[in-house]
Amino acid sequence: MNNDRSNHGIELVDQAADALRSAEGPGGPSSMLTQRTLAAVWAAEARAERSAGVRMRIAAALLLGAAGVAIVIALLHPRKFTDPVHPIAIIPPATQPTKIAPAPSTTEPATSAPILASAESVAPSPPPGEVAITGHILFEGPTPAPHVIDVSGYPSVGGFVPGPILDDSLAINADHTLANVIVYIAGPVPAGHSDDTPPPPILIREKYCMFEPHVVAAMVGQQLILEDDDALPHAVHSINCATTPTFNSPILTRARRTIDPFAAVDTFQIGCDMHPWMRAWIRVFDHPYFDVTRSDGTFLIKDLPPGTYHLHAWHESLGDQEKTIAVNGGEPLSVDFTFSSPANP
Amino acid sequence: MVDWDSIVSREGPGVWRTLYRLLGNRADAEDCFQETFLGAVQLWRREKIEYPHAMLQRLATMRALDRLRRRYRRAKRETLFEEDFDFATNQPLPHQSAEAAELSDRMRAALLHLPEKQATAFCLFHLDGWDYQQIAGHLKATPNVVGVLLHRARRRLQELLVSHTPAAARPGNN
Repeated sequence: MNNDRSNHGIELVDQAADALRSAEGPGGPSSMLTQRTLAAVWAAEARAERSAGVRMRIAAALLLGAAGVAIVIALLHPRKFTDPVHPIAIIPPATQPTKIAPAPSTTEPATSAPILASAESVAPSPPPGEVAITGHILFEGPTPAPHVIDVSGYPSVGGFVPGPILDDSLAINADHTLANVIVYIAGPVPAGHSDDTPPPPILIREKYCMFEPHVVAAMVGQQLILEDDDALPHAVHSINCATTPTFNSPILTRARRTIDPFAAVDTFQIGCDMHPWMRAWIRVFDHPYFDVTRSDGTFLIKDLPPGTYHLHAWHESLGDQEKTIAVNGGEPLSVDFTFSSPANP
Repeated sequence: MVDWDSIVSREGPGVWRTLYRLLGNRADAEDCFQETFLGAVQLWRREKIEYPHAMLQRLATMRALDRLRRRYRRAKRETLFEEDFDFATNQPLPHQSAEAAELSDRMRAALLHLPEKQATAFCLFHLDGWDYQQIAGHLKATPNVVGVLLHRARRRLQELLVSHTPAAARPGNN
């Protein structure tokens, strides 16, 4: 009897479900109901759009307020904001005032008389006992206004970088010296120089959507490490690389990549596909006699054996200058180069 | 921008069918019809809806069950005893027999005694023809859980329908 009741119950559920399924009602929704529903839907959409607009305006007002505060702070403490993104725009003079040798002519021919070391032209700060070539790279002429890079097409960058991004291809310091100039010996270099072992890897950081440093020099066999300090992704690759193994790293955020050792002497750029203003220069030499000028425009080339050499100063946009120097054993030498603005040669 | 014109015209008849089945009268179905699409607007602003048809059916089912519960509670307030509540407020549809209309009303009343998830699963499975997988996706549960929900729903409905069946109609009372 219980089974009968149970079976009856199951049938009843199915019958009731069938009955309900067949109760579809007369026709479908009336056209008036459809129109009324559509009007209500569009009104709801419009209300939602309006409230979204209000939220956007509030967010914009908050952002503007924050930007205003940031500008005030930047004006009060300029270095705090300009240094990370514009390592070259405002560079104070070297802390130790150095004696700058009279600037030789920038058009001095390569065959000019060798500059002999003299007691009066002592290098700025070579370690005692080392033979070194030191000097300054000077800039002559009016300092061009910093060029602000337009990042308006990159909203994520604008919201990330704390200040304007300035073009760092011409790094003129406050005392009219030039940073990011590679000074190097060209031509035959005596074999058996002090140390043929490539130094440790060089490091280039991707920081606030710029490369830091902007110019590096390395030896054949030396490795390059790319380190992304940004919370934004970058896709770094080599540009116009003649002999050095090219690389094209994947899009990465906060990553560290080691590039294969440089295979041969070369001059090339690296860039980021995602942020086209990001550029850095790399020069590779087969000897250790080179240096890149610092934020006070000085350089130091150590341990050069006695002899006569061609000393070059290379800047990415101002060109290359050459001087012939004679190095006497144990006597340091000071050499300066002067570059002019291309608009004011 | 969502093309609501085409969604309402395409999905409207299905939503209407789901609502009318459960509510059994035109006035309530019309109210819930509009509420269903307004609920869809809110949902759409929060997330991208890939299958509007399924989402609207689920919304319609839930709206209709809510409406049925409100109607039931109101009727309970107005009548002293639950047993006095006559759910059959509608005339049978032209194609329905009086017996089927009465059975439909009893089923609607019985559905109100189910927990919400069981009622939703039952309606989607038995009335709208969804499978376990689809229901599981919408209830954020596994197909096994849906099976359990449906089993419990059927057992409870069975008890409710049998207990309200006139004694003369029950088997064993011949």
